[in-house]
Amino acid sequence: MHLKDSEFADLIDDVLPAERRQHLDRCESCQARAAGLPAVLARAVEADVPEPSPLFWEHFSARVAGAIRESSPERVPGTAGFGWLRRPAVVWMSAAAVALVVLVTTLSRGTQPPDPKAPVARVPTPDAAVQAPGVNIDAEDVEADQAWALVRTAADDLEWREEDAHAAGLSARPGSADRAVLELSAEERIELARLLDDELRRPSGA
Amino acid sequence: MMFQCILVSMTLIATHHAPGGVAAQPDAGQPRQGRPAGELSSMEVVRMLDAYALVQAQDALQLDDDKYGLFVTRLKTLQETRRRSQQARNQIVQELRRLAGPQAAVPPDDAAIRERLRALREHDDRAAVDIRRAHDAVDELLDLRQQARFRIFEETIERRKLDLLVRARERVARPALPRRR
Repeated sequence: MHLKDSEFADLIDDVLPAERRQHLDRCESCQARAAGLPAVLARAVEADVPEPSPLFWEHFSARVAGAIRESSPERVPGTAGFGWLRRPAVVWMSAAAVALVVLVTTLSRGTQPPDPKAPVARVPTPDAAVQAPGVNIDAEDVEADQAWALVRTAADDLEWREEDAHAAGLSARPGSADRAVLELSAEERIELARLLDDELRRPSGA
Repeated sequence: MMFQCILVSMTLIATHHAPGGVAAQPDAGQPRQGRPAGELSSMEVVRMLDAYALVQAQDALQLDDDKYGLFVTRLKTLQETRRRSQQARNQIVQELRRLAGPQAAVPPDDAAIRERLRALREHDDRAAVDIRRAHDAVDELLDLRQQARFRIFEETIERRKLDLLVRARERVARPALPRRR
């Protein structure tokens, strides 16, 4: 069996299992794909990745959850217009797109120097252990998920109008900010404190 | 407005005395346990956000001073109830992750998974009751329109907090940008 996209990523990271490497040595098709990776890598390195905003995640996760509900088999009578989403071709195209994205991300992460300000690559500070009450997210798991990190980053370009979000059933629920605070760096927390200070000092109704 | 003034003062004092806080001075205090001076913990920031919400609530709901004190107490109870509930829930989910996640033992312990799922359901039911009770306690202090405003306020304040978070990140990421209000 030919190497999967994820295995090409492993190849770049030099963690491809020996048996799969043996396949690569024998397979011209896989060798040809492997030969093209440096070009992909170069493009990934040059890509400018914007920083996602905390506000986005509430909308995004709710939207994903909504989409999952919409496409669940139990909702068949009400989802006739979305039946095409379940066509095999669409599913496979989507899967291929995601796999490509994962590959590019992996390549990019493997070669770029870590950016201390990038939330997708943030190393937990000692404060990460001091979690806000009620906030017990395994941030390390999430941060380590490169595919998720790329989705987060790419989705940051999307802009929501408030009325659109409401119409779509999305809103910021109590506790959203608590979770977002966990993603702040020490420097960002201090900056937030400054902003809060400014806000609290402002006269009412200003 | 007296309570609001007191609350703002308390918040500012707390922030001022936090090493590296808003009004950090060179001698603003000793480093706290395991943390260098000049840093704020996530907990401290969350508390500041709570205080910010409490201050904003008086204007948003147009509460009288005589009601505001009790309102603060009950709103804090509501906030804490929600957090405790979320904390307990996260713990159960964490246990489920250990039992059924990618790192779970093989074969998985079905009895333990079933028990934790039951615990999660029971917790959700209990939490819903507790939060409703805390919410009702806040409502008792409010007239009909204030109750409506409180629903709107809860959503609005969360968005404002998130907006402040975004702005904080923007400022750190791009310090040269003009500071907007």
